[in-house]
Amino acid sequence: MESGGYLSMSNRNVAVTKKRYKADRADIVIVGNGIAGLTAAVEARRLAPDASIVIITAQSHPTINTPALKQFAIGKLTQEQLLAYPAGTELAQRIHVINAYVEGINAQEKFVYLEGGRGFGYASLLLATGSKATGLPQSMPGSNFDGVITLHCLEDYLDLRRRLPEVNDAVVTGGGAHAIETVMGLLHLGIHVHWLIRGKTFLSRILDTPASEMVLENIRHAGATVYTETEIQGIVGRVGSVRGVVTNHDQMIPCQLVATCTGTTPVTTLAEQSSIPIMQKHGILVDDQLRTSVRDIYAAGAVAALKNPQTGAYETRPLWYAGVLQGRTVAATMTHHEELATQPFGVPWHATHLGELCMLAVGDVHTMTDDLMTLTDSSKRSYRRMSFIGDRLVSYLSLGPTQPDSLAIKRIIDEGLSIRDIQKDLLKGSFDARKYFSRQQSHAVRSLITSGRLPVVHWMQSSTPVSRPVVISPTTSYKMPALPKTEGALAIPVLLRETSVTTTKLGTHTEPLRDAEPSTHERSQQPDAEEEILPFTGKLPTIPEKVSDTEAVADPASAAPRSNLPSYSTKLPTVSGLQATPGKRAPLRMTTGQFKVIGG
Amino acid sequence: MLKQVMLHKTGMQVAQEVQACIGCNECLLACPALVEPITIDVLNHVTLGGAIPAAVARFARSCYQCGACVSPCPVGLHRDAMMMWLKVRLLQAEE
Amino acid sequence: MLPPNPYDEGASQAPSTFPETAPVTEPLSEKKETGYPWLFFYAGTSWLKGLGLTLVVTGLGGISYVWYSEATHDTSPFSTPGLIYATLGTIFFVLAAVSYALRRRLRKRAVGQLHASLNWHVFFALMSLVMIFLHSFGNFEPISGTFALYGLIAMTISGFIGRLLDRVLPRLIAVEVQKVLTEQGDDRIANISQKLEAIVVHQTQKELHGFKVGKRDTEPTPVPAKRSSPNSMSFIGDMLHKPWDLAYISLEPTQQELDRQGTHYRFIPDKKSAFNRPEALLPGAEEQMSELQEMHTAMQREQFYRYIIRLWRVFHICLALVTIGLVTWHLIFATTILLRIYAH
Repeated sequence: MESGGYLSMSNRNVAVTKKRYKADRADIVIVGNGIAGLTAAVEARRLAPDASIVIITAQSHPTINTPALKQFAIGKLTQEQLLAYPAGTELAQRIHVINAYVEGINAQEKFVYLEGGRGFGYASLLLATGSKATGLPQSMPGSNFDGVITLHCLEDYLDLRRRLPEVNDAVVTGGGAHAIETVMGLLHLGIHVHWLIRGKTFLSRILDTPASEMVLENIRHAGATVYTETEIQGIVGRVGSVRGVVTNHDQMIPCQLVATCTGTTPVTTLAEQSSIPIMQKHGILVDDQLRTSVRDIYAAGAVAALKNPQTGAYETRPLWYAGVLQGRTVAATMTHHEELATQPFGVPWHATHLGELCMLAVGDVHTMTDDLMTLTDSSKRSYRRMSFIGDRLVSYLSLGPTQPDSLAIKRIIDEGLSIRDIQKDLLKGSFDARKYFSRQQSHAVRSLITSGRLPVVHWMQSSTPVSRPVVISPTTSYKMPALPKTEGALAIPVLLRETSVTTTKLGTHTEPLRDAEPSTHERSQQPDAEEEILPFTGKLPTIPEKVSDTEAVADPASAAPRSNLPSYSTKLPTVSGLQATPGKRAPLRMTTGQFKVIGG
Repeated sequence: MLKQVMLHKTGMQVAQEVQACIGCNECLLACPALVEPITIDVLNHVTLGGAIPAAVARFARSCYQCGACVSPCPVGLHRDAMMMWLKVRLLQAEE
Repeated sequence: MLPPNPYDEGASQAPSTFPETAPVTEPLSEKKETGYPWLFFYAGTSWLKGLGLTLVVTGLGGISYVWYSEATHDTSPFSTPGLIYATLGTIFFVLAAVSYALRRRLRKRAVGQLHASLNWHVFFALMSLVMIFLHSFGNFEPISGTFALYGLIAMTISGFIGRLLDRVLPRLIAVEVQKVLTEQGDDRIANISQKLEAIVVHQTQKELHGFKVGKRDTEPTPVPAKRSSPNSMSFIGDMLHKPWDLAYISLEPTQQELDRQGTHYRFIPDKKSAFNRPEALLPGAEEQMSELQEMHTAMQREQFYRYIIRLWRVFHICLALVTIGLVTWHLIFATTILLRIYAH
């Protein structure tokens, strides 16, 4: 975009001196080079080889594996080993990286403005600005002493590493996975750790009380001192450096380091500073293709709030795998390959180490409904809890010395597969997904041939013939060719929740659910592709409740009826009587050589 | 001591697992077959596709599927299945 | 600082590409290797060091053994060189048993250290075997020492076979896996089931449309889901409202009656009929079924090979425990004798 003289922007008073300058422009502009941003860029390059792709980031280093920072902190990894992609990937993929801070968005004229008043035009804009650490309140006494660090990015961990040789005692505050990872890392280095948790339990959003107790016991056994229902009231220092903390129980804990791991909040500054307001609520609200409420602006990663298919609430998913998936999906959307962006994200999934234990949490662990069954299996060293409705798994929590096949369990929930045959294995943690799925398939194949049962034929509204082979693209996860399913749909039981709005200290909120819906039904998560996003209404595309299936019912006047393949019995194939009127007896059958199609 | 063996994974499952990898390197640290240092980002990148560099090819051949890489993984991924996928690709390249 | 603006000319036109840059070479840019040969060998630094030390120790041991045998006639395991060999052999045995196991349990280790530990485990075991052989001075009477030596020999052979299996079986597994996966890595079983589904549906549609007059066997067209009222569609339902006089129905024999009498294939085949197989009415299904069987066999073989790898490891560990027991027994026995000798 070229301008002469002043560059005027609505809602902004950026006075530009009488300089003629030209704005840069690119087809795809990505703000942020976290894993979601870079994955989106690499995938967009693959799908659109000729597009111009730019990443604008304020971060001073390339994309790193942020979950691996805890290994870096204790010296297990070098800095070079933190890279998420091989060095030089951006250059090789012709992804231009600009080190600058984006101050705002002009959504009408489609450009972002960088610090210094420079503009950068876009055709598609992706906001992948990630999250920032919550940290201690500014008002807390002593929060600015040297030795008080909030662990979030590489710079924080570099700072931590430099301090560690002088630290004998450390206080870690926080009740999440990040906090426990920090505790374990410090214990590994022989530092005495005091761990302060505000709540009664650890990781209260994911773990139930027995699981939390198991984890805390494990950490105590590892040597840390754990204080629950305790938080920092103030930090004591001496000549500007930390000397200890004072808790809400008026207890003084001496230490040389205070590490804050109190969670993160999404960086939604740009959404607020956009000329057209972008809908956001504890994260930028996006649909399943990661479109925001403003045309041609997308969001992905920790900043994007997606709909939880189980609860209906919009939540951010500040997790690594979610960032990767979202990056791939939004790249498909931005490059107008919507057919590749139809894979739903499914239920939340979190797998990590908690001390010596491996934790896997899939789905919403705390949900309680009338028809929900819950089984638990606990021993000294492991704990498993699974909730299901009928034979559909709803949530799964595993704590133990080994990690189960986490992605396979997520797939079971996402695809609504029956767990009748594997319930025990899941409970005991001995589930072999590969063997199970291959047995399922071959069983289905054999029964197709030998049972003589006519497969139910469903046609989509688009009249796609069933005989079209299912295309499994590299971006979609593997799906069994289960006959009755509607392609692309999730079969996730919709859950009811007794509580309404709950606010967690980590900053994520759950919205009140809609009224109760049938416990299990298939629904399409695809928004209507034809619906236009109206920038000024701020509405996200509505998601249709049902997809009406078209059943194959042949014209009764002409078609010959077959209810079964030949059953190889001595009886002639029978024609099931049609129930002419509900409540009335089926009429007598007359075999005249003409048969009716029995629908479905 | 005798745990149930896990079979291979399909290419798409391997791709999914590679995407879920957080790059902590625990699997490489636990591997008794790995001789020369290989970074996880290169290994993941090569597993997904493209030409296989010599060092990674040597590693893929040397892997004897002991499964020592599976239990240290915090995310529950199966590096041995990813290595088997690399082996299959080497076999395909041979033909 | 922003890079040079490639759009200085004509900023109004949308650029399609940035200036081309030279392609960056792969991070590991040495020559690409392809293939998966049966025989391959990579000698790392630790392997060379271990081999060197083993050769040195074996050489020195052999030379000293020969010299001592020539110089004196005391070829007892309890002689001074015999005890030296025994001590060295025990030290190497302990190092072989403990070094790798300890290293596995250590948290602090670098990439490649475990492999080096495994190599040292092998070489210490070989050196231990050589030393114990020399210690025996050729005495293989059925005493505790001999049994301990047999245990060591069995362990070494089992270790050697184990390493061979570790070389061969993964490649065999890869071959089986290659059978089960397509070139793109998809599951062949899934492809087979899709094909079978297509065959069944196609056949079913053929049968459905076969009764329609003038209707070609094409892809099915969707029919609206609305169900018409029973009265209008149901032939059988209509019969309720019509006379039941059979004269209203054609008195000509029905097709089924004709079939029963005629020489056509019976709709229900007899047991000896070629059509008795489930896939008889579904041409093409048999090949798919046999492919499915092959896939299953391949997966069973894969599982078998994996169990062999696992079981051999267990066997090796069990043998190690037995050997440790035998060695401990011999050490106690030998210590008792030595104490008796030196007491007198």
